[in-house]
Amino acid sequence: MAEFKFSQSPHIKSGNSTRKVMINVLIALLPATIMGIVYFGIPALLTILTAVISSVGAEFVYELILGKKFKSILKRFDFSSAVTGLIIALISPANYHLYIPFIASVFAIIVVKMLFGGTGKNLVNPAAAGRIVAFISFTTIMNNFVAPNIACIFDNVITGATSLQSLLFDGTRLSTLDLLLGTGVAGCIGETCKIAILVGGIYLAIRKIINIIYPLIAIAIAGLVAVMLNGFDFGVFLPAILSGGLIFGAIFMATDYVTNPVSALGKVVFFIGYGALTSILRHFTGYETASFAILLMNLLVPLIDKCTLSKPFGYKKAKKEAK
Amino acid sequence: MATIKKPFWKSFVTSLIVMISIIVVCGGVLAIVNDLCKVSDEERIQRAIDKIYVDTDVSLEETLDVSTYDKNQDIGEIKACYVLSNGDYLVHVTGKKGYSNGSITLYVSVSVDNSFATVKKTVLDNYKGQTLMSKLTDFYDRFSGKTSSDDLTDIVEAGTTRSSQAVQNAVYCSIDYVNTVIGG
Amino acid sequence: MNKFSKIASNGLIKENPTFKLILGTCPTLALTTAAFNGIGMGLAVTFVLICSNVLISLLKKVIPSNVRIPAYILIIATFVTIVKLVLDKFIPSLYDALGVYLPLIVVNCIILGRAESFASKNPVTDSALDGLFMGLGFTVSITLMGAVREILGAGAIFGFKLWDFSIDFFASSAGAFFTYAIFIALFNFILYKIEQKKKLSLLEVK
Repeated sequence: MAEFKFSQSPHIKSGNSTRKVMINVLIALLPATIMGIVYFGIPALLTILTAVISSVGAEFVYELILGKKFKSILKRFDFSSAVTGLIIALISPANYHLYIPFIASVFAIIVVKMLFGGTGKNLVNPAAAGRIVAFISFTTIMNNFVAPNIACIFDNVITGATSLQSLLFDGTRLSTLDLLLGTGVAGCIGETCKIAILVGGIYLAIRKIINIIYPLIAIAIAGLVAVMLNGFDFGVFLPAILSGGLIFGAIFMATDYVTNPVSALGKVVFFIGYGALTSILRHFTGYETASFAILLMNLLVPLIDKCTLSKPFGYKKAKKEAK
Repeated sequence: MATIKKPFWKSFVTSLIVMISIIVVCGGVLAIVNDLCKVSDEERIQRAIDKIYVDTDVSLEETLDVSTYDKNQDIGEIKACYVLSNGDYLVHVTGKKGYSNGSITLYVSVSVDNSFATVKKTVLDNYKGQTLMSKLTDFYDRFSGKTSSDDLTDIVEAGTTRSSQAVQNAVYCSIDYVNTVIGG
Repeated sequence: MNKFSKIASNGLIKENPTFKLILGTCPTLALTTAAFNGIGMGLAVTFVLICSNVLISLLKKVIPSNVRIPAYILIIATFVTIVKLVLDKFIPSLYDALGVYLPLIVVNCIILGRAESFASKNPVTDSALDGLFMGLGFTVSITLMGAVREILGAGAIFGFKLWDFSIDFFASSAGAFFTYAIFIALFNFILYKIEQKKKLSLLEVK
């Protein structure tokens, strides 16, 4: 009798685990983080540290309260809360009100992730939800942005509307190069230097963690809708896509595995919806609505799944009974 | 067949009698209570005055005759105007063109500065019922200090475009009316 | 005495209308922005609840079953209108604060629910007591919720300003749902723990 080895599927492992994916995402976020600290200085660093420590701490505290042993939590730690914390920091403005990233992170981790079942079970993107809670709770602070230049590391000098708000309200536009590099652009910590975000996105695409097509679809649609809403003025296309949190959201937040539709068609619908919704909401409210658009599309994902799910392999529809 | 119909008639009649008696009794009680708790018009005006002039002691001096004023009928209607003990005019005004062609009734206190009618404060007349407009506070404060030369059309509260328009109409009519009174 | 304590503990804790029966959520979510509003609404509901329970219990043999809902609503609406008229005359500030939710007491599920499930089947004194304690349970619950939302969302308590820091989230309607959920979870959790302890102590005695 030959010796048979029995093992349960999966039999071929790809070497990917949640932890590896999350660490890669952290690496991809590094350029944007570094540029954010370079531009915004100490407040940015403090915000990032607060958010990451609060998120990781919240997850640990929650598991400890539930009675799990510290060592086992450490063993199972998969850096997803660190990613959430970093994203929350990168989509917040840089200031010394550190309770805001704290509250946002705690809400995102405990309410959106842990209460629903932990990693892989969150209903909506936790970072988006956390940012939205902070946004509606502290609207004036969250809308106050600093416009820095590279040299400004220790001082926040000018405060004012973001380039997005200027674009929406007076139509003033910064040059495309400025927008890409983020020089002189007021905004959230990680959103201003688009090149850094794109570098991160390309890294994720090379590592096969995200499919770059989907964010590109979202960005293109957002630009087109903005153009349509502004009376088909194609000059608006580049500033519209390069302003605000659209690119960051498309690459790092909308691509979250858990809150995406399952099928490819569903994903296309999701990203088109995200891009269009961001532009439409921006146009009519004048606020940065990328997080809101993500949240709304997340809530629609079950519906999208139901409509676009492909037939399971070997499934045959039961023939109708002949009369 | 007859045995099935009888119970129906019996229960129908009982139900009818019970309902009618409940209605009559409740209506009677409500009529009595309504009479006991009647808030007179003077009390309403005094309440509006107290809401506007929170700390000072202001009272009604005289009531003006508004029946002769018929301008701006399509956007508002002056229900009453009172002169107060501190010289201000209290206009009880309804602004039209509100949400779904409704109207909003306000009390506007207008003072006269250098022969210009200036709005002092605006409060909503709550008696007609509570709406979204009764939850707003600083919206009405934005009308303070406006005169007939000011444009009111950009004092709008987000989400209440039509109702804000009705309020603007009401304030405009009140300023216009006081200008007529002091001018004529 | 035994029945009294049973009805009392029912209304206040075991079948707390807000956190256990989840009745009357409309004023719970809308009026708990301030603790004072909570007390005002709670007392108005308690008054209507006692009166309607008593009257419906008195008339339980008279009102035929097939018109009971319209009859109950009529009676409840009469009492609510009386409350409205009295408040308008004597406490206009509370009348303004309650706003449109005062007439909405008519369709507050607590009142119709207790009328249907308790007052129409129990004697007058029991119904009155049930109305009193259900109303008190409701009042305490929404005052607590209102206090929490007021402290967190406006930095004040009973209109008395405590500090400048406020998290607008709790003053908004989204925060209302969130706070309500946390309260329901906490309340049921505490009840569950108490039940566990009671069971354990009973087992130990045996």
